[in-house]
Amino acid sequence: MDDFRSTEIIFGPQHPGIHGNFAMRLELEGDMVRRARLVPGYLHRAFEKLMERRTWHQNIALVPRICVPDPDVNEAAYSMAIENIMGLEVPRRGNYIRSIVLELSRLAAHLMGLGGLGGAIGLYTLPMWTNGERDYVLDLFEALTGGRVYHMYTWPGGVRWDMPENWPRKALKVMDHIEAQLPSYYSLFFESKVTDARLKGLAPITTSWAVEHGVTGPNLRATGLEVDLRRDDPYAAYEELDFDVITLKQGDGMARALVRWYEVGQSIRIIRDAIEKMPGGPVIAKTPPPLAFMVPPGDHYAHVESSKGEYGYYVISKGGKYPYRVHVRGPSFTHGIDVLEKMLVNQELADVALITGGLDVCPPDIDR
Amino acid sequence: MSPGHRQVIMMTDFVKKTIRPFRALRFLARKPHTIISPHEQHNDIEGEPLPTERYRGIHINDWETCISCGLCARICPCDAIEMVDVEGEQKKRPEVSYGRCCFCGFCEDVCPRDSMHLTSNYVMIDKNSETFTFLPENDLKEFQKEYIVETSQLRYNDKDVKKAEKEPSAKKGGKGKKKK
Ligand code: SF4
Ligand code: SF4
Repeated sequence: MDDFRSTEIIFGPQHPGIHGNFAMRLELEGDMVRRARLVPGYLHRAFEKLMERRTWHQNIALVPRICVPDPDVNEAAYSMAIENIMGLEVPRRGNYIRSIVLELSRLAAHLMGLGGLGGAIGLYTLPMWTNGERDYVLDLFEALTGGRVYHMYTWPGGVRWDMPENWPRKALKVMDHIEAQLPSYYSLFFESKVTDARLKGLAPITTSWAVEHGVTGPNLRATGLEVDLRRDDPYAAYEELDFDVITLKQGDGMARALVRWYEVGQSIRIIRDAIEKMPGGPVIAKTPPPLAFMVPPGDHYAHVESSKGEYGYYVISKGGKYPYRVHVRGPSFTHGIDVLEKMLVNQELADVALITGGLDVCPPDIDR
Repeated sequence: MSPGHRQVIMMTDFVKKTIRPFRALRFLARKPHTIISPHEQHNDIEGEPLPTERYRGIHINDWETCISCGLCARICPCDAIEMVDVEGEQKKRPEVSYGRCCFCGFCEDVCPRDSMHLTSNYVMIDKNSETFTFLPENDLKEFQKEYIVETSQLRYNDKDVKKAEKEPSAKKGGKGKKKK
């Protein structure tokens, strides 16, 4: 190729269209991207290594920071791995509360993701609305866990505290409120001419391509494959809760956004169902106190369905107070590096931010 | 379907999709989600004030019951707590550095005598950064209390906001001296 025909631009990390702290080097020919290389590493905090020097419980304060918009999946997957090595049984009520927290977290993350997508196509009303409603979810988290963004609420063995008495009522109220808002998001965003023009047919992927490249979660469901860890490998209380796995056929940008919009409705349904079926009893199993907490030798891979895809923790213990090794399998690592590099080829520069946003890439989880 | 029919459908679709987003205009009449802090109180969906009781904010420590066991310093994932000698006290007391604390509340959980607590007060404003390494005592520090009283007396109206904008230095902190 003639050297003067292509331009290389550096997109991010200081770019309003980029989803967090990572950069792309795009080789352009005119307006078309011919080659994309992802440059992660701006947010590398060596979490996996740090965790080897901290006790099992101290790590609970560390893991939620790996994915900022959807922090609870980290605590849950990490705790589940430990429980499995120790053979701990979580009380039923603890599992129900875990499910509620995980769904609230998914709800908040999807609202934020949809808002970001609205921002990427220049529809700034949507992020204002979704972030406004997300704030009510954060209020719920605050009343339940004591933290708004990082909750540090799920422990090995259950959850730290029981729900306050008036919390279920408040939660149902917030659910009603968000459900009432959903149609207006739909008419604002999905029934708009602009969204049609920008998202329909944007970077379509097929199921076989997606499976080959390790795409999981809503992005895979948008291609028509019915997979959902909540149903296929139930954890927490999902086995006893009612919900549908949302799939769409098209596999394009519109389908990816719509799956998320429908999943907000499903999350609301799960939370309502869990509050209704909430059993009594303790919320945490009998465990040794945190400073005397030892995990017998063993290893386990625990995975959960996060708002972005499959989220897994591989924990190895050689006995003692500290983990020997913890490995985090984040969905954004595959979506944000390999998949994105291939999907951006032959797309227009103006769509780069939209494709990244549509995949719901979360850079803190790429770098860890 | 005849071509004419399809055209009519496309036209109505076009009109619908062009008009629908303008429904958002009705939100102009709604109250905004944002509040003018600290003049307005932040409420949850039922109108109850936030932060709630469980909110993890600034520490207090009851020196009567604290047995100086140091467990809080050992569990702290951020190494924010140090057991220090205090003048006029026989026992060492935990000193918290807010430059490091991540407000996880583990120190509260692990405390055998239930003396350490995280209050729901989160306002930390002071010109002197040294203020934020201090010994939690039975009560909130002076500089925190001063702020709470002031905000709770304020009610939002335009006059207040204008006044606050005019005299940005009206609220002075800096009373919390480090005990040593
Ligand atoms: S854990 Fe409690 S009793 Fe022990 S030193 Fe800390 S505050 Fe005092
Ligand atoms: S709240 Fe957490 S980080 Fe802060 S002092 Fe207590 S244990 Fe340490």
